Amino acid sequence: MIAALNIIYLVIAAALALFALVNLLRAKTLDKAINMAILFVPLLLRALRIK
Amino acid sequence: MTETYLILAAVFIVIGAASLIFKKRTGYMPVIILGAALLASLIGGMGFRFREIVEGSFAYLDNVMWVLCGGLLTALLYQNGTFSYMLDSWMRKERSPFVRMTGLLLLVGIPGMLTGSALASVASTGVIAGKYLMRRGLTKVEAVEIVAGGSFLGMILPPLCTPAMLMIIGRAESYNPSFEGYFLPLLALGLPALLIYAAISGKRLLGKLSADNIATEPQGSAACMIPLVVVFLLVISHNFLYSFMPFLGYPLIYIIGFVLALIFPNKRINPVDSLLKGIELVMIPASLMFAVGSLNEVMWMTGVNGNLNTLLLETSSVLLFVVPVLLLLVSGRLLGQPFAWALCAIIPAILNGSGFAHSPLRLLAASAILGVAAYRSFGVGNSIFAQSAHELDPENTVAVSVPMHACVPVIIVLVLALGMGFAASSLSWLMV
Repeated sequence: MIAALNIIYLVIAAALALFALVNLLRAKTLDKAINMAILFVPLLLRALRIK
Repeated sequence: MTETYLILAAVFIVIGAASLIFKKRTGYMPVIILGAALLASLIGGMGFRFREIVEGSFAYLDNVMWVLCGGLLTALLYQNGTFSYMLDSWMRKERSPFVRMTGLLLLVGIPGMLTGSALASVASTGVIAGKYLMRRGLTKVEAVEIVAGGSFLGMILPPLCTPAMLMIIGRAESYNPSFEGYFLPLLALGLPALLIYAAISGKRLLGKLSADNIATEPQGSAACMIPLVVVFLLVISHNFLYSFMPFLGYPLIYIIGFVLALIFPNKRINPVDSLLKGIELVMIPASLMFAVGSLNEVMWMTGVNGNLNTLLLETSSVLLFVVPVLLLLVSGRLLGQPFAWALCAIIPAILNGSGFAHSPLRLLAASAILGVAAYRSFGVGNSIFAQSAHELDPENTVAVSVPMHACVPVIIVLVLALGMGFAASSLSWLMV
């Protein structure tokens, strides 16, 4: 169960990182792009299990 | 010690000045806070410590995932018409103003409860409810009052509350924390305020709505509420039946709700739009949390938090609660929410020093007061009230003045939070 949850949570983190990245690339204002970048980095590192 | 004062002064002068310069453009504040964290490590003689800046945000990563997944679910329910259906179903039946107002405030507050952010309510259910009420004869100020009140109470009500998560996880360096067990304390702060406000203001605000002018046949079927019912049951099980249930966690609960909302939509929409809009809905509190996490890490790395704890070792526990809370309230209202949130890089450590037994509920009480400061500000930052007025009428840039009776829910939460803070050790049974 724990192993399955771990994988599910990695997938959720990767999906959230992807949505943040798409928002970052489509951002029309600088502040939105910056905020999406701030969200993207830790989510990506979590998805890649880098810490 | 001189270095500690120097770092504190530099960091908060920079953030304070940026709060004044950027005023309404709070979107720039997370990056300013990250810059202040880099400045602190530089003044501390440790160079540019990017490792700690990135690592600090990891303290809030799990909680930000809760908030983001709540944002996804909220955006889908908003766009697929579930919230509109619920509003029409609730308002069309003849009920007493108190009951109608209670349900309306709860409905406006749902996104705030799911994400912990009042702005998520303001930009979703707030828009639907506010426009509905204005179409039926309420003035803009009255509609804004209901939207702002419901959004604020939604943020305070369980299961999630971003100011509370910010504060409670902020003490990570001195105690291994998690934002679990705070359902009842949050309910104890939010529910009495909601009921009293509905009793006081229900007739004044909704009394003039007659059955004739609110009879709108809801579009769609009640099946669209299945996702919310399932999420509600899973959240209750997560908080109270954890001995009998496998652990799922909020992100998975919300994703289950999201999938169910795709299966039982009120109207067909493109879910990709909801996924992108959902992140945007909670972007500011989520990125602010990451930024404050980084500043918190640097404050521990440079010894600022440790020095402050040592300096305040002999201070009375009451002062260690009252002074930080006053600082949060005053700075939040004068310099805006981002500044008050940045203060949460040091305040949880100070509050934690007021006693291990008091600490969890005192942190929660302080976070509710941080939320109170967000309701209205003196021209700096996007307060909940100003944001509600803007969402309902984006063309009109004239600020809506806040009537005193609109502050009733905020005042009740403030009083309850102070009570909870002072009686923290005897209320520990609330932590389940």
